[in-house]
Amino acid sequence: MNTAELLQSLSEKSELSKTRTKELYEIFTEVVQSKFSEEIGIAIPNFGSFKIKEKKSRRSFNPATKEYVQLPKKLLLSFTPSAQMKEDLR
Amino acid sequence: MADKITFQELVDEFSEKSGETKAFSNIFIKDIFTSVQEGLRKDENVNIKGLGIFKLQEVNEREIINPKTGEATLIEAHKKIVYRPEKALRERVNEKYAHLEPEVLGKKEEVKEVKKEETIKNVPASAEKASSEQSVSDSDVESKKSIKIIYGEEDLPTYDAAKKVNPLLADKPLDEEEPPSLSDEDKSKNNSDNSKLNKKSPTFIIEKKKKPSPWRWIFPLLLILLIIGVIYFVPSGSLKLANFTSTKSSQNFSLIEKIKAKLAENLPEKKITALPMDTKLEKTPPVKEEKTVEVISSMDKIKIITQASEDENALIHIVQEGNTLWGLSDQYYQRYSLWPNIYRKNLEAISTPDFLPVGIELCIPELSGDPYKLTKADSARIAQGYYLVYTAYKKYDDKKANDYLKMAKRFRTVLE
Repeated sequence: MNTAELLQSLSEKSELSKTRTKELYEIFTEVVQSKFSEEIGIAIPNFGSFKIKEKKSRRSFNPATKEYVQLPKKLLLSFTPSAQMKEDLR
Repeated sequence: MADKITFQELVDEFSEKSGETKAFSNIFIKDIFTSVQEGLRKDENVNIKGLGIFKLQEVNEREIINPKTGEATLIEAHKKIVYRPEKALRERVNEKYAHLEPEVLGKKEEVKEVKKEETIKNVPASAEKASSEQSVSDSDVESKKSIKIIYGEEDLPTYDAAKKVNPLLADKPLDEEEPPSLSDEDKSKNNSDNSKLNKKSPTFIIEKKKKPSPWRWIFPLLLILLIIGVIYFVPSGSLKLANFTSTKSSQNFSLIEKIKAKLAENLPEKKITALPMDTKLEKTPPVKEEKTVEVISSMDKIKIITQASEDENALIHIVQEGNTLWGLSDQYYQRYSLWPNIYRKNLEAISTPDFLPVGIELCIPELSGDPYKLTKADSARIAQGYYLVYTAYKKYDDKKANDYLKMAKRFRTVLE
């Protein structure tokens, strides 16, 4: 499934025009992404929860150059599916 | 970071921005996620702009063992949901730390040297306490000695702990691992005490292995020194220790002489104390053999144990990080393909041949002959080893299993 198919099914469900659906979808992603960028997670019932995790700084080795590299810490977005969804798609 | 908003708050914000009613927004957002779920159910892959990729991943059937109860439960093959945010979103999430760049630390050797210096710094600090009487010189042997003293001293508390656990040992004296500054009399006393302890000694050897955290640093260093020592002493024949057969007492004496030689070379101060010990041993070899072996073991970390129950002699190897059965076979037999011989002996310790837990003691049976011209008995044992490997793999339906059966047959035919 890609974005076009998603919008198609959305417009059928909400009985809106495709352009309006697309607008609304873009607003939705903007809201969600701005939350994520503020390190705020979102919990969605029966689907799962999105959470921001910090990955610690670590040392890594590049075998090609035989050099050690200290990688900086970073923020990652992680998703945990809800129990229902897990069971549903099992 | 710990912050999280609920679905309702998301709906509120969405309706504010889009101008739609809250009821509609609620349904619309729910629809988005149900569509994603339907898409996942339909073709197992949802790639949408603004969020990223949701995918279903196959998970193979596996067995888990509860370490507390030892119960095994089977987890059936299933699919799990994997999510990877799209690149733009990943970058947006990480905006806060985006300015941090990876820092190049340099080449392998330089970094390793830094590590080494750290460990060396640790040692002299603790060595100073112990070796006030010791004259410290720069040679390798000397440094080895001082470390051994630390071993003796630091080990005592753990031995105390062992005593608490095992009341049988409580009334035995503490001087199993003594600093070399003891007088001759004390040493011989210890010996007689040790011989009493003979049968119990294995139990507290195991307990000693559970070291406190500082040991993590000292132990590898000891090993490095040990390796250097072994390389250094190879020409003098001390490695041949491994080849002795203790059932014949005449060969035992040659072993004892070797130990003597080693002691003399290694620890000049122990020379005197070693002699009375040896004479004692010569009087009653069968009982005290194990004791001499123990003496070396405390120095070398390789224990040689004569096993009365079977004709085979065996070394004990403590598994380090990076050890493999294959590698150990090369180390002890100079031939890779004999590793099932080790596996055969350690069935209880090793559950699958692929996995070797660090810290366990491996019993390494000795070959009665040359590794490339196997005797009939050895060949049969190795065939048995391969057969055990075959059964282990067969349990997991591994395709490799049949190869090992073939190997087992090959060693059988050597026998015939």
